[in-house]
Amino acid sequence: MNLLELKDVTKQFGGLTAVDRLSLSMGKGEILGVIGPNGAGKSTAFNCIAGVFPPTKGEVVFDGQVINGQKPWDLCKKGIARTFQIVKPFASKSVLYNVTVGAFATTSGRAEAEAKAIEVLKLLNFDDKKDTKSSDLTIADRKRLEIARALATEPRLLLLDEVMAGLRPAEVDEMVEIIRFLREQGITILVIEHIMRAIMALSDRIVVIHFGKKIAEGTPEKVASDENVIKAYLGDEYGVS
Amino acid sequence: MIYLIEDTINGILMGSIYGLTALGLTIIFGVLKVVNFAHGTLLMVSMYAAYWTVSLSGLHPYLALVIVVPVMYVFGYYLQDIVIKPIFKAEKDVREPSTVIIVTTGVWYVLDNLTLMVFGPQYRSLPDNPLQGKMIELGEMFISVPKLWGAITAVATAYAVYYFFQKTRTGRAIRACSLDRDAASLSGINQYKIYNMAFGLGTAVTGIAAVTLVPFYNTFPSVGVLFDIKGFIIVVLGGLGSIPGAIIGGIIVGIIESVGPQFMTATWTEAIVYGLFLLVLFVKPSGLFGVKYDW
Amino acid sequence: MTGKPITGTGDNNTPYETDDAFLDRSALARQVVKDTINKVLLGAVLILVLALPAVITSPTWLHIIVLIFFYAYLTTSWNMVGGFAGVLPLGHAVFLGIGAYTSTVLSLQYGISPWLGMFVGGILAVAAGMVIGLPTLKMRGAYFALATIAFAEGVRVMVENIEYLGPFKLNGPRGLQIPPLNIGWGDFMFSSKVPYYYIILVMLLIILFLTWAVSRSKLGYYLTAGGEEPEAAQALGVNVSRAKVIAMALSCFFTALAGTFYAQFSLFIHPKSTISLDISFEIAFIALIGGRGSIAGPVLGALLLRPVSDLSRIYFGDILPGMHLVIYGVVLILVMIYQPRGLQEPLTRIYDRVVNRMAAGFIKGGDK
Repeated sequence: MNLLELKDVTKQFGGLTAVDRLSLSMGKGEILGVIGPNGAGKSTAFNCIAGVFPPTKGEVVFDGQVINGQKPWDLCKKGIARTFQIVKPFASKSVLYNVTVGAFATTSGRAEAEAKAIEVLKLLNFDDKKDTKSSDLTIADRKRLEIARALATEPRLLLLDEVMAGLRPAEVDEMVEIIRFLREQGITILVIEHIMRAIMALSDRIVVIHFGKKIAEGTPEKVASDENVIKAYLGDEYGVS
Repeated sequence: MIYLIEDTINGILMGSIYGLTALGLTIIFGVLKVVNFAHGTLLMVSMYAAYWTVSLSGLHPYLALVIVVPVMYVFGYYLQDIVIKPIFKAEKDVREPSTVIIVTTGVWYVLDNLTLMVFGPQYRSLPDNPLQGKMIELGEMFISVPKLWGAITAVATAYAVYYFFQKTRTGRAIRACSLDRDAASLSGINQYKIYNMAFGLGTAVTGIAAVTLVPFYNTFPSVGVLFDIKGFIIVVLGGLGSIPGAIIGGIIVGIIESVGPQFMTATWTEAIVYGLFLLVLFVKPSGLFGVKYDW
Repeated sequence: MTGKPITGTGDNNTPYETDDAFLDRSALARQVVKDTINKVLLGAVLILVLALPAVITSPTWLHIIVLIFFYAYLTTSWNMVGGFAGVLPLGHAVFLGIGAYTSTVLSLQYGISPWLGMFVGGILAVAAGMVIGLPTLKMRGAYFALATIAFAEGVRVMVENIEYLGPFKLNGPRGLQIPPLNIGWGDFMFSSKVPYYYIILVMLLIILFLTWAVSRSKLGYYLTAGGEEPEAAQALGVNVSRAKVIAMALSCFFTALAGTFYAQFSLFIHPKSTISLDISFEIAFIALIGGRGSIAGPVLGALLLRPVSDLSRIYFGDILPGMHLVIYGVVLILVMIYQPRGLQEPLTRIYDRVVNRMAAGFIKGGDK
């Protein structure tokens, strides 16, 4: 059974249709990449899954259950975690504090939550920075903190919103390794990304969105050679009309 | 019945003046996205400025505009520049820094109590002026002349400010800045200067309000507090940031205060105004004219 | 140094100490010494405040100190929602008023002990807090602040205008006088200031302990997270509005308890002395200057500001009315511009430095 399924999901803002009858599905343990030009509706689709706003039409099904319009904090308890493209650390607090907030999703005791947080930090080789104030972190570490916090909520589905944007090439490689490692832990991962090199290397399958519609889907190789995709990225004049 | 009409008319007139006192608050919120808690205090300062201008020169009260408006513009401009700007710089990423509320509250306390120390607690009213106590008789009804003048000024000012924001280059730059600070500064607008100007403008408009009030209203150190809270209520009723909303909100409050005493003791009308305020806040926080915003 | 490790860090196995292990252990030793110093100082302060009425016998001074503790208590209650939850309530005096009026009416009209009335007032304050908090705590920024002001002012105007609320006599603007007939613990009424001193001290210690406990609990983490980055907190499973509502309920309850204390302490309450905007603002000022969201901040704020207000009222009251409010205002502006996290931050730094130096001194001394 699929862990996540989008059935004809449509999201309209006033007259603008940001996502247009988008359907996709993700199997357990899969890494699905979602790409598309700027303003294609990737983030809107992402937010529909993450519960930021409900879809106008269609269904979002998680683990066999329709989750349309459920609040982010309820989704989190169900096992969906996300990161933010523009990182949002609790700036005045330490890394450990930040991750402990996430760990409280599964427990109420502080000692237990903190132990859990340290475990997650160790998993990500991040525990040496546990006492650093999160506003003092580098951008790469902030992105890592986003993932650590999300991970501490024990997600089954992890939604990553451009976690590699703004990173140096070496840091991108490291992030790819981290994401692969998370999948090995049995987490299903949906990645929105602009950095083609990374997403091609990472994804089992890729979905391409353009003007809110799915225009291609398949393995990275297949998608990369798809005519519609090239057209979408390079403009119509290069395509065969 | 005749009293009801008379009270309604006087309520509309006084309400327009209330609207004018709140106009500066809404201008400042519209641009800076912060509630200026020192607003009533700025009105108080303006009233003292107007009071002394008129009583020392003996001119017609409305001629005080020539002095009060530029003085208050400069006052507001530098108040923002010196006291509030540092907060904006420190909290760049915060959209509505609550720290500004606190700092402006500090300004309120300082100025109100300095005034108390300097001028004493006494109520001051202009000795005699061409507008004092004048009434127009309309059949059996009496309409207050200074309130009529004030209401006309209020509507004219609101229209002028609206025109300024819609049609002039500076006005548009200010509006652009209010919509998106970062984008505006990228397109070459100096956002802090814009804030200073908006704050100055809001304060200057408050100066106009003070000039309309002084001919019939007492000037005293804590006069601002009355208008401060009334101002908050008016701008929330009308929609924070909306210029016509401020005038309409003011008129609503004015009518309640003026007509209410026909049916209940006067102090109860105050409670009704607070109740209405909370009701609007609960039901439609964007107010009557405000744009929907991410509450 | 003796060769024995302070804790079982496992370096018994190593034939000789590495630099790292040595550093770890000396850091650990310093930590232990620092903790001890902290505990000793805390104990000393505790003994000092417990013994204070034996030293200070002047009722005037005791009165001032009681008010300092009273404001420290109020501000610490305020801090639960105003500090940790990151919102700005500016009408907290209404809950103080609800507490004061509830226990006073119950005791005057029905002979119910204020100790019991205190908790009835607390529960009523929670109900009132929910009326105003449930719809507005979801909103951002200034709206909550404005709503709390309007609510408090609305209630004050109402109380000033009614003699009776149903069967309950509120006596309008004249307020309620509590005749000092039954002096003693059962009726929460004393002829000396000393019992009041100990009552407010215990109340303060309880609220401080509670704040400490909350700040280390899931609720505390959720409040801080929701206050700093609501969206991120929600994505991590935090129902931000619910956390704020809980904090508001706690805050209202404890604020109301102070109302009963105030009524019994002054034996006279009226709308302007309880539900006043000035008190609401003073509470917020103390918290902000001391440092909102920290445990020490409110106490520090009250310690620094209350004497300013009391002394300037005593000494400048006639010549310079409002002097203390000018000082409050100036301090507030300066603190907000230069120390936005309140005075507790630099003071904590200084305190830490002193303790560190003391710890270093002790360790060196011990080595000899």
